[in-house]
Amino acid sequence: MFGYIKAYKPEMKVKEFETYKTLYCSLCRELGKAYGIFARLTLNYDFVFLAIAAAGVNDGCPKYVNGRCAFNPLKKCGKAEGCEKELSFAAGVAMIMLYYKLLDNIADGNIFRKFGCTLVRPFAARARKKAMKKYPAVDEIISDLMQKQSEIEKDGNISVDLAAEPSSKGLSEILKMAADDEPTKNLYGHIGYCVGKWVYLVDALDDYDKDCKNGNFNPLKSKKDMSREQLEEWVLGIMNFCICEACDAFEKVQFKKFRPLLENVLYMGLPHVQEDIIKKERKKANDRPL
Amino acid sequence: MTDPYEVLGVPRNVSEAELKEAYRRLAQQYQSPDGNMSDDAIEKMKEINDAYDQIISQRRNPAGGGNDNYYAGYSPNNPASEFSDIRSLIMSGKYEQAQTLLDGIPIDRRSAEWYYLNGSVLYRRGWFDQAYTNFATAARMEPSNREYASALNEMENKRSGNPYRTHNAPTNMGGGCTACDICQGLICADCCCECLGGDLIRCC
Repeated sequence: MFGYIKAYKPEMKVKEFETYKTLYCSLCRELGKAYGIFARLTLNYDFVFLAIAAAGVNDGCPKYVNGRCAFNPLKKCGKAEGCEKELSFAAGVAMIMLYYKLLDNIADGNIFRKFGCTLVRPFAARARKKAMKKYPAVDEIISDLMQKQSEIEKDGNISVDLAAEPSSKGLSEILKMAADDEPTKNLYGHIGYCVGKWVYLVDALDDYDKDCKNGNFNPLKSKKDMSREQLEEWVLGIMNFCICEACDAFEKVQFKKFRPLLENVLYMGLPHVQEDIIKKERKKANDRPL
Repeated sequence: MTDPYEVLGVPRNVSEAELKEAYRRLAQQYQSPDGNMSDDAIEKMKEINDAYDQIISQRRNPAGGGNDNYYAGYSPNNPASEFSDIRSLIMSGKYEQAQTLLDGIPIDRRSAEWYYLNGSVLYRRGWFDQAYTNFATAARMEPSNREYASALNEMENKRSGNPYRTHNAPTNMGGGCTACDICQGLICADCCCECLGGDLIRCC
């Protein structure tokens, strides 16, 4: 579910990549500062995307400072000063999402997952409480999302659009909060909807084989009568469409900074992530014993 | 159901001045000197006017934002449409009401136009897969209808991957016209004219 919204490094300029990495490290610092050292382990690029999207439409030029990684003192890592508000927002969303994801795993996962998640739950609950004080609206959005999602998934045979609706709407509302003025909110709402839908589908595709084996819900199961190639082509069609729609809306946003980073993520990162997943699935299928 | 930028032959990042110039150029092509226009020309002029208005109003009011209006950019004055009330609702952004009306139509009355309008509303709601299925059905039921075919085509373009394709496609059109282009054009025109017995440029 996490870690799909990434940049595509080979097509990034060196200075853009350095900025991207610095923001990643800055988010790590923010998580550690606000929610404790274990919160840093939840760091992933999805929330960096959220921070960049929020900072991109705000004024102000960040000051980049050199530092050292808290986990690996031999590694240099930068810090972006001036993006505190956006990083704090992304960190808050991360903690709230983590908490609800844990609850979901405890309800649905296998015995090992349940056990592991139950152990971590108290820390996550504490972090979520702190985050909820700062961003109560985010907590409402995500708890609503999870509840709707589990209700919808009770019916095994539903359209992919309906199944993806809670995630799409959820990310749409969250990304809207990252903008201040009405036109940008609308555009971000649309980008959030499309990217949310894309993440849901790419996650479904990634977990398809596992879900078929374990009998878990997967929206792609409704197309079981299709061959593997047909299924991939069908789901890729929808995912490509989501990316195009998000890019259309992206073109209209008036960015103050970080535009190339977001452009890379939307135009190149997302397509490459979905390509990697297809290749991985194909390789797994080809590696099966005869 | 075409992209207004494509109708005017301009890239998406066209400036307002260039846009006006493109509009003027196209309008001159279709307006004859004696003021009489063929039916085709009238329809084309309307398309051009609609496209121009759409782009201008989108830019002046980006609150229409990510919900890009070009899927609602079709003619509301189509007298042959039995769903003109639904079309007007879609044009004014009232998608919930449009969906309610569409759902109320019994299955035996669901024509190609019904599927097309249903697809349009579903697209606005973000239900891209079902929108695609509906557009495909509409185009299949009425293959000669350009509106449905164009909507389906647009969707298929976006579904094929490569997001840059749908944005950078018209960059070479409506761009600058250099002196070389003008000269080339005139020489070609002169040659063609001479082949037909006339002479555009006396000295060439």
